[in-house]
Amino acid sequence: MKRMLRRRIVALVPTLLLSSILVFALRSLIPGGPADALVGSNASGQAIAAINRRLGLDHPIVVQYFNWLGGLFQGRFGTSYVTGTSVGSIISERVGASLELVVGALVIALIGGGIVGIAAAVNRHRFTGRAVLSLSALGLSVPDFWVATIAAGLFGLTLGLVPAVGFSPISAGLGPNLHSVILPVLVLSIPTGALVTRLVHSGMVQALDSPYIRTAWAMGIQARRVYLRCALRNAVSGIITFLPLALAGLVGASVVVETVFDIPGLGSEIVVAAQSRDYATLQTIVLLMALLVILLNCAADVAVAAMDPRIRRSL
Amino acid sequence: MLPSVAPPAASETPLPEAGAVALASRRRNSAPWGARIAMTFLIVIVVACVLAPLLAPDNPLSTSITARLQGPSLRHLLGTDSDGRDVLSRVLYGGRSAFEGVGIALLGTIILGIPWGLLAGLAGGLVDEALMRLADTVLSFPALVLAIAITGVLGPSLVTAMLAISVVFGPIVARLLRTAVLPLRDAEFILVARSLGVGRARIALQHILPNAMAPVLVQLFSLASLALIIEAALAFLGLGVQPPLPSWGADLAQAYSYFTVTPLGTIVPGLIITISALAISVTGDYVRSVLR
Repeated sequence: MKRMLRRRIVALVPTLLLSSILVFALRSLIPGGPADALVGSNASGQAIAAINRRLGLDHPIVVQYFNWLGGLFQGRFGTSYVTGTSVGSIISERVGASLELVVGALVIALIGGGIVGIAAAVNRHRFTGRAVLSLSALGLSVPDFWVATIAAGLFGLTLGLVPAVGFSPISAGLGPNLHSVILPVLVLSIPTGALVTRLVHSGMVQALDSPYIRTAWAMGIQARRVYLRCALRNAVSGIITFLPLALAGLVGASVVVETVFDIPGLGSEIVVAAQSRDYATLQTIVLLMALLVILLNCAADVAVAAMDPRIRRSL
Repeated sequence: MLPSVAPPAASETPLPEAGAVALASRRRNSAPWGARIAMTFLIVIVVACVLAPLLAPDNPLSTSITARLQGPSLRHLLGTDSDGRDVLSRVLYGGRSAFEGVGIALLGTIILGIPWGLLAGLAGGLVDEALMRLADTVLSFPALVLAIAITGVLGPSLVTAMLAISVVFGPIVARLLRTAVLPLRDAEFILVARSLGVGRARIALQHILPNAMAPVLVQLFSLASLALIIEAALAFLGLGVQPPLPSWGADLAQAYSYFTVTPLGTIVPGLIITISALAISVTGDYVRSVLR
């Protein structure tokens, strides 16, 4: 187990470095360079040179990369090209709302998707089981921005049950906070919940058709115990493996949901940064999101290996 | 698209080559009704969008201050938007850019992903390791986030949005192709070809690639349906097709501001995106079952 852990962490280093290089390389795609994008192409050579000096763009590209990387390790994320505020403060201001959305949606997706998945597996030979499965396919393919606008328009604008836009932080009281996030969290949890439903269903169905479950039935073990203790366990490792993927999907979807509901999180900031060509902010948030997914992927691998000795040995 | 050269050792490699055979034998049994509906819908909507200049009742760009936000009527079957433009015409023209975008995205994905996967699978060793590590890294970015970053850098337009999607999808195709190439690399019919003096490039392109394409072909359907949704999402966020040009995603975003006046403008484009994406993946599932 220790050896596997060490190998997995060592393998993490090149992936992390490579992702930082990729994010850094985005900058070189900018037509005319960042300074050009900042002041416009008809600015004087002097003005461009001044900006390049201020942003440290007059150094060779390799030096720039290591300056940037070193800065990241020391918590210097640079300053926004557009507003001039530090990217670090932008992120710390906005990370809370995003985290609340994503974690809330994940919890709801796991609980809701789990319950529905179990029900679908138990009723797999009936119409309800198949109908639930088809519905989950629809939940996976329906565009999140559409669900978000319809939900906000129907429950927020037309019926007025919840606010259609805006976010009130936890510091302003738990009640108003929950009131403002309940709809976005529910919308966000739909695709992940559908994915969890399918994973729980397929894992359980596979188990229910296997000899050890037949033995369990033959031994006269209660149905509830067979389903929840014996069959559900078989689905858990599948869910843990897919968790990072689900989280990546949630982070991507949070961009859309935050924009529709006008929630001040990292997702809506990334859209604003892309529209205003604020590369420093864009770069840092993209890297942050990728790091999150990479680290979670690693954690999920380790967790699955810790649970399943067969996988542990194969790694 | 499928095998141009049948492997002599077909009995030992029951791989994609079986696809053509299965296709012939399944032709007698008809496709399941779900796949039929999906394919019919796809054909109808693609043809309708291609023929938009003939079918559209109105110019999608002509605004009218007097005819803003109207409900459905004989003149405007799906009503008008906040600038008085005919929604049906905009939906038809918007579909053109949507399917054009999917085409560009798939083409870019193929151009990027196929050499990537083929090289990794055939070269092996350090090259393989490096190429696959790179693919894993690109795949660790959330797809929409990476696409936003790339369009943000290159400037928003349909073409940059679709190139961004190609960058996100390329590694997916590369990984799949590499997995399909690996068992073929050491197959007997490749050994025979090599001993007959066939060149390396010709073995790779004529003997290995066609036989490894089946899983990629199936995956391209899922990617097409995903590309359609991401393209619409980028346009929705203002990072794809730029207004006033018609697009499903951007039109939906504009109509949403007037949801309480007429929700139709929000519902219709989203419904079409959903059904089209679903139809593409149902068709893909059918192709998968035929190729098996």
